[in-house]
Amino acid sequence: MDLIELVQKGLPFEDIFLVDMHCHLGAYNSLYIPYIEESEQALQYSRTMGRMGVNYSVVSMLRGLASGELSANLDLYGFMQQDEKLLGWVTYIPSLITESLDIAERCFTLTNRFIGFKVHPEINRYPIFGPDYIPMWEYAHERGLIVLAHAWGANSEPSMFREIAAKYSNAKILLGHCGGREPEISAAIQLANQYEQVYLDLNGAFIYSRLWLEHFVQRADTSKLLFSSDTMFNNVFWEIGHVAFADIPDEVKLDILGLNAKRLLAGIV
Amino acid sequence: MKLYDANGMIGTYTRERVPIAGEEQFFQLANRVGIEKSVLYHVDARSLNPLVGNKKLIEVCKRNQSIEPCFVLSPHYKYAIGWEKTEQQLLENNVRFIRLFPKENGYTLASNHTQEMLEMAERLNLNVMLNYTSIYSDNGEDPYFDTLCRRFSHVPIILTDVQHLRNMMWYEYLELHSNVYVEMSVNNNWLTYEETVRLFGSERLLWGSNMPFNHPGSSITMLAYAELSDEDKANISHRNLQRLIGRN
Repeated sequence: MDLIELVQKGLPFEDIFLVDMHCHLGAYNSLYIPYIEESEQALQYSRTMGRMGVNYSVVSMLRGLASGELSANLDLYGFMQQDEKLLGWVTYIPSLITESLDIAERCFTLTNRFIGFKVHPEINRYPIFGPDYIPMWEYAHERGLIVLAHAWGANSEPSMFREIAAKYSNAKILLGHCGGREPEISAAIQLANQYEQVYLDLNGAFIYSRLWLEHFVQRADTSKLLFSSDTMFNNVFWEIGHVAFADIPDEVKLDILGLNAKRLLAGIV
Repeated sequence: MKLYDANGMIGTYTRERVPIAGEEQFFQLANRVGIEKSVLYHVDARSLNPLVGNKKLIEVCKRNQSIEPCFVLSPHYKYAIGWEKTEQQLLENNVRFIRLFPKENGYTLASNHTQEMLEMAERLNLNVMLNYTSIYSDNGEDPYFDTLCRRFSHVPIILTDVQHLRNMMWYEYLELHSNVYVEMSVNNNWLTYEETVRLFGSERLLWGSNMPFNHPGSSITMLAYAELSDEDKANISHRNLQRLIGRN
């Protein structure tokens, strides 16, 4: 059965390696997300992963970004212990530098399934190029970690990452949502093409941009395109359709769905 | 899944760059993904002039039997030909759906123009479509929308491209107004179908593509993978829209 038949029937991906690089757990202030209890949410999300056939989801805790509860990262470790399909992003809040790095050190020591940092300059209302993010960039650079950065908005446009990419070349940067709209999507693609360590996180790049995946495949190094859903805000069932139905070669679809992530996360998945 | 598309725009859009260049590409993609019927309005009715664009829509419908025409109505009609002749045109062309674009077409939701058009919809048993940005801005949702829904409680009012970040508001519309329907093309919240059906049932949810702005594939997979009964999926994918098409 080919990929399109599979998704039209709503069948799980059994023989396709699928990694969702950008997920969250928790509640949020401006949107109703089901299951207020994180443990229940994690359980229900496991069902979603099973229905889709997701091999790995990389999760950050909303509590660790939108509130000062950085201990949420340790709670995430608990969920990861219960479900080997969960990998983790450690959240970093620029106004809580010492606390963020302390928790980060604990998390990265616990397991290599914490693959890097998650930062959100729009939730924390602080520009990505600001000095309070420098300790995080230095930490990530020293250890060769990945930084998933929300990259859509006044504090986090992809064009703001140019100097960061040049300076912290050992930190891999995953540009969240690819900028969301033009012209920042073009800036994101250009950065990913120029810098070996910059990758493109695809969720959110299609909903308002009037661009489809074919646009990205024609312009970007396709080895840099990574599938993601932005669960719990959004749904892996929605994002998967962009890839499955795209008019692009099947091998590129498989790369985007999981093989690119597998290479990036070699030794972990 | 049998797919009837509740939300599509046909024609060549020049107000911004979109992935589908025109009619041929639109139907190629619709056929490829298996859409059997589409409620469509013409881009020129929205972006150029409603009378001009609706006339073009009728010509498109003659070439494509799979289209259910949706006229963009606006006060242009009142001043150009009068409401009586407008009604005649709607009846002659068997139009069951009208769309309102207050911002693009130079009037407001709270104007008497909207009132007159909804009175017409009520008289002729038409379905009325509004995209979410017609009722939502940085100041939030227009409270007049509630007034309209209440005043015209027998007119099905379909909100298209409802925004996923405003789910608590369109939940309220579904809760308070039995005549409000929600088209789900860009509604991509986690468990949105499951939660909305749990709260309100599936009878007022409509599958849509939002072509040419969005690829229909994501809307297809969103419903295909939803943990719903076959009955609920069939309601959403085509039965609810078929029922609206068949209203007399």
